[in-house]
Amino acid sequence: MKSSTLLFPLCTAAGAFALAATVPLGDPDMYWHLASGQWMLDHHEILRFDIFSSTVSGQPYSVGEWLGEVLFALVFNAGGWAGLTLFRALLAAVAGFALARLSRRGGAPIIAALLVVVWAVAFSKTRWIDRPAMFTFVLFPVVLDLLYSARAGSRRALLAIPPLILLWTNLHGGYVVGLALVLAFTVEAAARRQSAFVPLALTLVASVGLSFVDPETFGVAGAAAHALAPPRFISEEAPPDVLEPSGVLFAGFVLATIGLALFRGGELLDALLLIPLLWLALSAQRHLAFFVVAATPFIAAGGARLYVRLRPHGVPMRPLPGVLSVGIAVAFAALALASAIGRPGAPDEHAYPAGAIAALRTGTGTLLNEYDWGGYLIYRVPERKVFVDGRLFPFYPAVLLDYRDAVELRPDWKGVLSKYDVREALLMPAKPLAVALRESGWTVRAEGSNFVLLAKP
Amino acid sequence: MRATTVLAAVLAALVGTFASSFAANDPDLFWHLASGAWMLDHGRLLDRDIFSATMVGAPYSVGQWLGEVVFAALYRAGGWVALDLLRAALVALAAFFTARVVLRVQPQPAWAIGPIVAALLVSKFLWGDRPQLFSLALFPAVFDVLLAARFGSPRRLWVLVPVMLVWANLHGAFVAGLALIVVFVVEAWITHTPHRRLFTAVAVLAAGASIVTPSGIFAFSFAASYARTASAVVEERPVDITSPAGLVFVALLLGTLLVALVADRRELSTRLRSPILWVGMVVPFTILGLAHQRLLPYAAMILAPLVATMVPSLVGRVEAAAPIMPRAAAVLALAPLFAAAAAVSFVLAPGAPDLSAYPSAATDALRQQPGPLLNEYDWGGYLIFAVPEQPTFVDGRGAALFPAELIGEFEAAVSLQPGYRRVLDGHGIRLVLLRPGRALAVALREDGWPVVAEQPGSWVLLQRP
Repeated sequence: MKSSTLLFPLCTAAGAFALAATVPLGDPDMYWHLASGQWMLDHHEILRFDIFSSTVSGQPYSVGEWLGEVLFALVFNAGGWAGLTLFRALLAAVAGFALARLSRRGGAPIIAALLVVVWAVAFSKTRWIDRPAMFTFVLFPVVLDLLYSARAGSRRALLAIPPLILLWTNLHGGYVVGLALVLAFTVEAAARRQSAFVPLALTLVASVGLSFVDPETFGVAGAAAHALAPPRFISEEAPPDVLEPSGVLFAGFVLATIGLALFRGGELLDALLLIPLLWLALSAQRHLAFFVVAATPFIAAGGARLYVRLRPHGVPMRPLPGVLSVGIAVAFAALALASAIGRPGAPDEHAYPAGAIAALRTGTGTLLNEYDWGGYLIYRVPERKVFVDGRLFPFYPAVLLDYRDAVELRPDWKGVLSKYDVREALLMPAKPLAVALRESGWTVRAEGSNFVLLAKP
Repeated sequence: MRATTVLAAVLAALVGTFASSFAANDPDLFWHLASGAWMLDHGRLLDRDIFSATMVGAPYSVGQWLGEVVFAALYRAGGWVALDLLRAALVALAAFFTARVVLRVQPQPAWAIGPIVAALLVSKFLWGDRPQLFSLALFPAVFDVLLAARFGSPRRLWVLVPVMLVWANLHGAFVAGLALIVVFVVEAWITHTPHRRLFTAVAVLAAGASIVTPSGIFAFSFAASYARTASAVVEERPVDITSPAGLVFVALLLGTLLVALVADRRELSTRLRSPILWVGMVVPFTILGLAHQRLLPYAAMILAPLVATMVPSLVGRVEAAAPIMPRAAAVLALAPLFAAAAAVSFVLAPGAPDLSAYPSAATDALRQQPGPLLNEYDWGGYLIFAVPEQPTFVDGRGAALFPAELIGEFEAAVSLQPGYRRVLDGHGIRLVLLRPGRALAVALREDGWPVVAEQPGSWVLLQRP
């Protein structure tokens, strides 16, 4: 491989690493994933039933991410919060590397690829989350790049895909999208009667087979049901808003794709990839990144060709001089190193009720807590069981409906509190239930600008 | 006359008849009617609030005075049936022009009917009885004129000047029509079409005509609302593709992408005649459709002809020209059809609004009790119409009248945020009319506010003790 071929992906990786290393941890689901991983490490078995809540205690459930949780816990045990930050940065770097390689798959010159990659990285920054979904964010471009490599003639690249799918299946439920990628390339090869069909079909069969080697799989059917009927009350499952910052960047990809397709067309593979992924992206915000990554090579190549067509006598791109290439590489490496050194050493917990922890530890009885704080409480105050948390599935729908009726002060709110014998409530001060409980004489045990802990008198 | 125009007219008659069968129930219809009636009674524009207790006397404009007057005049002349028939007529016009646009680029009905039906299904989102119905009809009409002018009859363009003058006074979405005209002008200059100066002159005059409204240049402020992020108003939220309208829209969008990616380039360019024109329309209207549900029908009307003309190229079907039929024969065929459609519409028209979503049984109690009243946002328009003696706290005039602080106070009160009592006391609220599941309704009941009237599961009227 030529060094110039590697320079762009490496610089992109270093840039993504530098960016990701500066963002403090703080995802609300990170905490319960860490606690789950830690339990599995401690007990040497997979956590298959609830041990964190008071409402569904002991009930079986699966979030299909056991290995991802264990890995996060291992990294945390080895390097603490700083280690997790660097781990996330490393994953972002791998994604950046694959994304940069993808951007040139359609033959785009480096300047066009660079513009689209910067655009994609700016978008993807909003999706760098500290939980197993990050593995899907990394493995998606990696598998896509391997498939493009195979399509370009490097059949050996296919050998890496089944093991990656096996790993992905156990890391995070998003592996189904990886299977869909392999299927799209296989269908294209079949439709074009290409010789790559047989190895691709074998890869698909092996990948699908290995995807069942998972002790607690979420399942293809589960993933499909989730995609077809997203639980809208979770913000990342809401329809994409193309007027908010990451939505604007996403909309740019959509419109550029449609515009370029109308101008210069595409290939069957583009349709097989982009159409289902655009549907998926429009179904819920959490799926936007798949389309952005898949559209990157199409837009980079299409944009470059459009530029040549519109300005046939424009300034052509020349390769960078060797000295300049080395200088750029050194600059990016220094940037990544500086970010690693200056990484935040602790999570950003300003959105959580940190000031309530001491009071929570001395409290007793059933606690009703904000949904978004459940994971944090699982990790920080394990001695108090939560009412609900970000694991969603064990609570869906019965407990979540009760939770909603209570915190939104629906007519049966008192019945819900009685049903679960709620003795304490940890809520945002503006929640209707918090206001009503204060007025009903519940005592304030702790209070901050963003939380109030109330106890039944 | 082209046979496709006859087909579009047949479709319009059917769709219009279907539209007449729905009972009026749009929450904004009622305050539009009340506003129009006031203007008819007073012979001048309503430019100050007379309906609310919170903003009474404040200047405002919803930019739809003529639309409101038309609605009110028809209501006076023929009651609810007249409004049902107006809806039927405007939806029929929308269907006619939508179909004609699609059939203009795809004369084979078998290929055109799917996208036409898809666009009409999405358009149902705007079938509510209020001035937006005029925009629903006028947008495809302007689109049709522009397409006809671009690919055949440029003289028709001049009709757009008076159309824009009327549209700007009927409803604020006239900006969408102007945007469409601008796209055609830009394309004309990029592709050096022979009539580019004519397109430009018409665009300038149409833009000038559209500021001949009581709001003048500020009529364009409607366009600024497109740039706002997600709002509490349902129709201004981003499209949800799991909803029926969203599903149909995304099918059109993905269909467009599929054909653009897979079809033969040269054939596609030939069929589209000017790919840049379609890109110029698809890009802005798709983003608007994705951003605001209320704009989805306009985006669907742009995508429908594109899909209709491109899909046959996938299977190698040759282009066809529309057959011509004698004008007299067409009129003879259509006249009885439209007469029958009008008669059936008259019979089908419910003749009364569907008030099941409103607290209609609370009106007597509301008349007898002293205010001020705090009411559900969605019921404000109905109360303006049904109980004018009880001014509203908020209503569907939304941001055109009520400042963000007042809407914030309303939200804080009904969702029982800290300080809700300050809102109630600050406005001297003595009556509260809410859905029983609202946190404020629950809290006030428990706080001892007596129930004046209620319909379990629907509404409750509470009075300060």
